Amino acid sequence: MQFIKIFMLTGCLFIMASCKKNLQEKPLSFLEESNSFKTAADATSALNGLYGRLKSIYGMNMINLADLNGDECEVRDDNGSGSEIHKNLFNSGSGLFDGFYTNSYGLIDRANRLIYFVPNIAMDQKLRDQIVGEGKFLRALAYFNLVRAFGDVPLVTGISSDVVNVKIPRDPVNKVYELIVQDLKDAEAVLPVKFTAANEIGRATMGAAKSILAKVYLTQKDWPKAASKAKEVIDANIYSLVPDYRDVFLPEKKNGPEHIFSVQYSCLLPAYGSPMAENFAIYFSYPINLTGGSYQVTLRHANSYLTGDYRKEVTVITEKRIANGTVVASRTGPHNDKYWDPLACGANAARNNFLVVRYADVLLMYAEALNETGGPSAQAYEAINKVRARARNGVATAQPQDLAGLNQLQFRDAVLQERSWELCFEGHRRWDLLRTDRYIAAMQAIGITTSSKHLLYPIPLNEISVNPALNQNPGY
Amino acid sequence: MKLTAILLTIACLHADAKSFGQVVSLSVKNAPPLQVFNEVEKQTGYTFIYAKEQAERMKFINLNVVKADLVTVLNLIFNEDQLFTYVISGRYIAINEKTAKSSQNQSLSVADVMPVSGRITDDGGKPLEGVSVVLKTSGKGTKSKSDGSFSIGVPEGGDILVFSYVGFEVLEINVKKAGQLAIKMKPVINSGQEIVVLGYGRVKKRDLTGSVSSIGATELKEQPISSFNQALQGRVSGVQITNASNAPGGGITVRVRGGNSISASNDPLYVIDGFPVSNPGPASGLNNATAFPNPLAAINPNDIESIEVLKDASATAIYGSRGANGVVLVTTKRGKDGQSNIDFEVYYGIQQITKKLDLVTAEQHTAAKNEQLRNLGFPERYGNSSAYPLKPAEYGKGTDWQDEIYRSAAIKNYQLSFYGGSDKLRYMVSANLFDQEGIVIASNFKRYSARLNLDAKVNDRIKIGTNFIVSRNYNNGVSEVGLSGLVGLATTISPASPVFDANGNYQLLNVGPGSGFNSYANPVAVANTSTNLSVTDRVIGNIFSDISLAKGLTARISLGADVFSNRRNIFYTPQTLLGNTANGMGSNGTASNLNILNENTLTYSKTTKYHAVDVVAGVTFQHNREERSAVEAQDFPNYSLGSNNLALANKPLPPSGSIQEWGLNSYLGRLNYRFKDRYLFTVTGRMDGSSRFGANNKYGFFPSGAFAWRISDEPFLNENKIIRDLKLRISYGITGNDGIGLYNSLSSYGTGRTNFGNTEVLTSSASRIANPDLRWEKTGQFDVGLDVGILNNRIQVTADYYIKTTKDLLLGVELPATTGFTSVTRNVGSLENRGFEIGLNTVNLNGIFKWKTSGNISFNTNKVLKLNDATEFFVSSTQNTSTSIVRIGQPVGSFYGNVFDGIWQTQDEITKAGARARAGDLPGAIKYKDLNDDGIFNEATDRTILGNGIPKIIYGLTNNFMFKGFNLSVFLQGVQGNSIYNFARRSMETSDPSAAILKSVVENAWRADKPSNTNPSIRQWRPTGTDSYYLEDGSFLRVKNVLLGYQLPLKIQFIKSARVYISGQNLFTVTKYRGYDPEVNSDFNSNTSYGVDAYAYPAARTITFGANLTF
Repeated sequence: MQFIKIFMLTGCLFIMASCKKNLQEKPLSFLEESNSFKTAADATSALNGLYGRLKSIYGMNMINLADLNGDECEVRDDNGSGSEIHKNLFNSGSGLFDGFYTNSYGLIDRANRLIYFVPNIAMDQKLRDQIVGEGKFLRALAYFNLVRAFGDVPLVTGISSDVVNVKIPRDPVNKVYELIVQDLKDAEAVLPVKFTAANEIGRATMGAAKSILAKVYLTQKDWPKAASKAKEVIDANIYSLVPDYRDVFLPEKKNGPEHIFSVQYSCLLPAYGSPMAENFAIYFSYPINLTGGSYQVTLRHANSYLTGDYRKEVTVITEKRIANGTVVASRTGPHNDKYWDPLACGANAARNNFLVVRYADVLLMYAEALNETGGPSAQAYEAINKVRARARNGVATAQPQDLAGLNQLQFRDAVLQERSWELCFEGHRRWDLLRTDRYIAAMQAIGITTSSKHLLYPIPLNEISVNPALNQNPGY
Repeated sequence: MKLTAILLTIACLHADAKSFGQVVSLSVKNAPPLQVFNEVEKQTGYTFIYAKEQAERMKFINLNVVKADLVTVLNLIFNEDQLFTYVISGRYIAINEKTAKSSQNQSLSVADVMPVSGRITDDGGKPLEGVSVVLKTSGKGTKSKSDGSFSIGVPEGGDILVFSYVGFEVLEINVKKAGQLAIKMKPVINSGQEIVVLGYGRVKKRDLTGSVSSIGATELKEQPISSFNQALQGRVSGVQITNASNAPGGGITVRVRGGNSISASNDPLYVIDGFPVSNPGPASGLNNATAFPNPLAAINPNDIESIEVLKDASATAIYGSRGANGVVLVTTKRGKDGQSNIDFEVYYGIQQITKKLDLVTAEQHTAAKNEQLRNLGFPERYGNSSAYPLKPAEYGKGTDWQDEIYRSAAIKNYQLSFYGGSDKLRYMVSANLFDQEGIVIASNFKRYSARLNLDAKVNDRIKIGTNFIVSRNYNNGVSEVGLSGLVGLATTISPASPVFDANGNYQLLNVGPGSGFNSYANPVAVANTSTNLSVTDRVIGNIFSDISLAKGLTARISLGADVFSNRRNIFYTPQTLLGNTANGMGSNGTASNLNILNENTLTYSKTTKYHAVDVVAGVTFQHNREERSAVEAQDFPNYSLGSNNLALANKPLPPSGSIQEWGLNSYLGRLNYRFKDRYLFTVTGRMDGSSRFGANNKYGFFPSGAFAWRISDEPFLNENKIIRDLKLRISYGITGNDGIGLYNSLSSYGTGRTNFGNTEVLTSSASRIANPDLRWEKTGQFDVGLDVGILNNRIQVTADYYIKTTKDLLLGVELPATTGFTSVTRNVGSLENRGFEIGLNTVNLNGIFKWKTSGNISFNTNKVLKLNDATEFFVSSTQNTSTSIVRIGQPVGSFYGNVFDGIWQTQDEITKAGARARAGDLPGAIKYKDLNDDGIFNEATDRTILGNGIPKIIYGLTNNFMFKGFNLSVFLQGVQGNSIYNFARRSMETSDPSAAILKSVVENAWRADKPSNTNPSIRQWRPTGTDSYYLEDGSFLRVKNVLLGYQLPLKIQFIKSARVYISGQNLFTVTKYRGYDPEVNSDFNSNTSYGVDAYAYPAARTITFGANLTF
């Protein structure tokens, strides 16, 4: 027995300090929860991680869910899943929903971790509050997208560690909105007015929180609150419309005075590039690999512009002159030119940001909210006419002329139409139609069989199979 | 009377010795008699005659004499304390007991001894050293010297001389008179006495209870192999070896009794001289530079004495959590007592590709492009436009890219070894250079290695020893897999493309822009301008000490380390397509691994009349640390230095690195009990604590039990003339598979990068959820076996049937997104392997002409029993070349896809088929089966299991013929019942000739005037993902090795033995497979995608000449 003890002792001493230590698995080259939230820099890295994840929720994912499923955008026949979502032929098995749902909850979980762990870090309190505030902003944004897409969704605000008991049921929409509103209010209180450091530009500001909160109120049909939030953004005098509508979209002019919150893309490396440019480009016009995308503009939308509206020139094209001077014509219909980037850096990688909310949107939200509270007021006209004035691009006689003398219903239609011209292909259309209860009619108008079940997307099939506590939306 | 006789003798001997004037100078203290005898023999030329048993009983000797005469010395040695005395006769000194009886005998022998001498060789003429030569009546004897010579005094009137040597039949010769004898000894036919190495011990084969196969140095020697595991191919039942890459030093897939796991490792555990080695991964490099180096290529096969493969749970349970995939024990050579040899071995070989694919000429390729354009309704390109004014016929034969990249390549091996020793110190020292050029240009493998094995006896109780190997190898590999590899490029680039352009530079793009051919890199340019060099240093060493604690009780303490260091330099110049856009790109990667081991064991054995017990118990500790780093850079203004200095690049990329550790604490034990030497029991257990396992499952216990019954030793069979050996073995046990990756039970936060504007920032986010319940995969194995030896053991059969059930398979289990993760690795799922294997050894002729046969055949079926909440899941191969399915009730990783159903012949047929035809199908298009018969052909739903890459049967057969000094061995090997997904052919048969195509495509394409039902028209038809048309029968029978050797009948003093041979490797293969070679597994590391040919490095035929000299 003594001998065995000596054996063990020599062995462990030879290998390491103690036998027990030999069995402890201590990560040496990656971080764990325990050492991921120690310093202010850790908090920033974790927050950067949240921002990075926006790319997997916005980009083409949001275009698919919000624009393609609408009356402005369609795809060529060879895009099968795109065609399904455009024509309301999808079912719960579609990968688009699964990706969107999964990535949104991925963001929410990382936000939950940040909100939970960062307050324990010993660091500058103001910065700490701000980082937690940004986490809340992003969590609210993710839930806002989820609740608009699926209705009731599981409301997760803590950290999961159990890998066996993972059944989580859905929570009612209003409970989810309670969290969204609370998070945005918290964020609004602590977020800075502006970021100036190069490695911070693009992070959420107070204006971003107020603007999203305005949209949340608008979606909840809480018009007075929506109007007052939008007004706060306007009155802050931080944002303005850029004079040339084209400059809203030029990669060189991103993060300008009109941009309130954008998902940041870059051609620093192809991995950081955005996918919209190639997907919307006319086939054979895209400079990188001489192919292009299958996403097109519906004829209805292309024809809806008033003659002379500069925004049509910027948005809708049927041919493209590419760098070497060749003119490539579309053989399949009009294309959207908002995301054209002649200096794209790879397949599905260009420099354009994805614009989540910009000042024109806030102006139109303000107009919409005021109109709903008591008909078109002077401030409502002022807001919408600012947007229309810019669309004339300096040509006083051009369309669209300023609005005047509309009744509430006419004004409501005018705002919706204005949003379509101004904000098409920016991830708004389906939500706008749903908010104004025009979705079914609009889809039917372009010949797509649509019923009330389509007001909500189906809960992804995969999720139901791994989380039986989820029930499916009606009709799927 | 007695006394006078003795006195007389001594007196007369005195005179005799003196007359020779023999003097001895010797100073020893407490020396063993044998040592003293040797010294006296050396100094005087006299030879001692004694029985070994006598020498052992003699007292140790103290002596201090300077130039003393022989008799004085002998009197000092045989003083009154000794139990023995001596007599001198002629030049012999005979030793006798100091008893009355022996004195009488002695007195007889004194007068009557006659000298007999001779030379002992084996039947091939090779001298045997250390053969015991004993007089039958007196038991006196001697041993043969290194040249096989011996001399002994035989009593007048004759006696029987008994020659005995391990591994040879005992020979008795009746000697009547003095003279010279030429003795030839016959090797023994397996008798069950040979020793089999087991984990933590060794056992006589007759006492074995588990299923263990072994091969010896003979099978390893004289074969042009870079790594020892290649030598197991076809030699061992139940072990499937596939040269996954035939590149020099390339990877090998080894499966013992089928694959146990879906997502964890299926590789067996390799134990080299008791050291369980890990297989560290190679250093990382640029993405496109895949290579599969074989880490075991560091071990020099020429140093290996034997390889044992432990197959059943009884044998492997002593390795506990690492035993489930089988264990391969490698034992290297050690010095032997009383020998001293210098061996020099050399071979030189030429390797050539076994087969070339029949690809189109430039004329055919350009004509095919024109035909495609005609079929699509476009104008022809070649001979028509100003860009390509030449007509197809004017392109002629073009470039034969296969000839450009394949070459006949040399393989060389030089080995020098010294081995020998005394009873105090034994040594084995060797040095080796192995140098293999690849048959693809610019690839080669070179190994320098040296070994030192020592054993020393410190005193009666303590022995110490070491094993050390140091090796460095250079592996110059080209990218092997997929289109970016040279084989892929050479079979896709158009023959119309020249190697050099008009200016004498490498032609970069395939033919040129607008040619209608895809852009592929020029393989010759890639080979000659890019680098993919891997340099590996490996030192495996251990030191051990055996301490005898009491009778039968021994302790062994060993300490060892395995130091591995690997560096990879990769560089692509702008001459390659990959490096062109980046203006040159390069990377440096390093991987270093340190594995340290301490093992402490106690062994005890005791034998009584009916009972025999062997016990081993021990504790072991192992710890491993791996450190890796890699840097990459692009845009080299000057690329003459390659990636030797990445600082020369304009654009460095972020570096990467990692450090990983694991530890294993184990407690092990084994009890062997034999009752009446016929009923054998073995109980084995190991408790493994492993850092890999989750916090809730740190320790696992792996027990096994076995019973064997030596039926042939029962009285009722004892006298049986036919059945010499009959043993039944039954075992059951549980072993584990810890190849589940490191840190998988822990949560992880991954760091990455994202951007704000054009500024990069660091990110950190949770990337893995913790699973503290994670544990080993568990395999329960039942084995029943029979060992039969009949007709004096001239026919020996070993047969085993086994059922292995693996539970707790690690699978990625999907999680609800609300957890924040998509999947977690959990122990769910199970699968089964069942099989039958049989090994046969026969001695067909055993006269002057000898003929021996050994063969084996194994059958294994693999079946998935349970998956998590699902009946199946799909897997794409690593190279995305095929789709496999893991489905309950089916073997793991079956090819899954659409079924080719010929070619649409007429428009009518297509119209009638409706949605069964694909949109746009015209006559000449590919037709697929509507498997679910819903009237629509749908790529996703009309899929079925097409086949499986794992053979149902594997076999090998060796015939050895010996005649005088000649020997001829013929080794056949094969597999049966597997499919290969020929992804390379899929590209070479594409109907769109944008890449080079097979001649058969041009010859057999569907044309309106010459319809085909196998090849579509040359147009743009797209084959589906995984398509039965490209699945081929992978069965083959191969003449793997034929060797003819000759033992030169040399009679030169300083050369003890000389042998020359010529051998052919891979001489001939019978197969229906249409690719280069049916032995292929491009997804080397995948368990679920076995048998894909994605432009694999082809096999070579090798002719080798060799010589072995012993000095």
